[in-house]
Amino acid sequence: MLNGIHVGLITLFIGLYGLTNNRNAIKLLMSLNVANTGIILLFVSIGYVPGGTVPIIGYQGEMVDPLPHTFMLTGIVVNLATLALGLALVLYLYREFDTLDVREMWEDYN
Amino acid sequence: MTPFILMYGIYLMLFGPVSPGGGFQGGVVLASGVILVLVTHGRTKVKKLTNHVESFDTIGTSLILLFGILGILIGGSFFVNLTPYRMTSLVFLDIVVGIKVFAGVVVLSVFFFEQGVDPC
Amino acid sequence: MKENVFKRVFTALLVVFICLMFLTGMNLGHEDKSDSPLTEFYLENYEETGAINLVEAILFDFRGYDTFGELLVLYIAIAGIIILGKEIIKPKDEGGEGS
Repeated sequence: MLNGIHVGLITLFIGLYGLTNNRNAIKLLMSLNVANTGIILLFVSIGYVPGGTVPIIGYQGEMVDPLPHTFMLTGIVVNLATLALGLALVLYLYREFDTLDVREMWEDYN
Repeated sequence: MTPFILMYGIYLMLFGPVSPGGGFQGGVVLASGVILVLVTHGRTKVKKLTNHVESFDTIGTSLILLFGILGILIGGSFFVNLTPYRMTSLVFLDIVVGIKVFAGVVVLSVFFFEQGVDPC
Repeated sequence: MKENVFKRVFTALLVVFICLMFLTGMNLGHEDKSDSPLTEFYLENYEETGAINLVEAILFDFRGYDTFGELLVLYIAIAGIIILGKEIIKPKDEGGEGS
C-alpha cells in the first residue's frame, strides 16, 4: 500500500534529480523547494496515527504525534527564507551577467 | 475583503495556545491581506507603510532576545513563564513572532513586486 | 568522456540509495501509535506551559532555542534582501553608462 512516506520519498528524489540535472538557476531553486516539500510530507507522515485527531488536549480519540509538526513548522520558515534570499541573489546575478545559465555565468566570471 | 483577512490573522495570533493557529500562521495571514492591497491598488499605497515595517522586524527580534535574557536572569531557563498567570508568555511570544513574520513577508513581497514591475 | 563515467556511477549509487530508503520507509509505516520517548515526555509535562495546543507548547516553551534560531535565520535573510535591494537599485542608474 502506498502511503505518505513513499510519496514523500518519491517527491524528495524528484527534487534531487532536478537539482543534479539542471543548469538554470531558477530551476535549481525550484528543485530545492520540491525536495523540501517531499521532506515535509515524509516527516508529517511518520508522525501520523490512523484515525488520529489534532494534537490539542480535549479532543476525543488518539492524537497525532505533535513533534514532527513542530520540526516541519521550523523547516517551512527556513525554506521560505532560503528561497527568498536565493531568488534575490539570482536577480542580482541576472542583472550582472544577462544570463540564467550557471555554467555560462562561471565562464563569464573567469 | 482585507479587513476580514487581517481580523482572521489577529485571531490566529491571539488564540494560538488554545486553538489551532499560532504566531507564524497568523503573521503570514496578516501579510496576505497586505499583499492583496499591493496587487489591487499598486505599490504606491503600500510603499509608505514599508519603511515602518522594516523597523518592526528589528524590534521583534530584539524583543524576543530581551525576553529570553530576562527569563535566564529570573527563572533560570531561556523561555520561562514570567507571570503567575497561565499562558501570558506564550501569548506575548505569539504576538511578537506574528508581527515579525508579518514584517518579513511584507518586505519580501514588496521587494519582488518592485523588481518585477519595471525590469531594467 | 570523464563526465559520462561520473554520471553513470552517480546514477547507480542514487538507485541503490533510493532502494535502501524505500526499504526503511516500509519499516517506518504506522501500524501502532509512535512511542518516541521525547513525545512521551512532552505529553506528560505539557501542563507546566499552560497551553492546550501541544504544537504551540513544544514550539515556544520546550524548544525555545530552536524557534529563536529560526527567527534569526528569517531576520538575516530579510536583512540580506533589503541590502541587495538597495544594491540592485543603485547600479541600475550608473551601470548603463559605466559598463
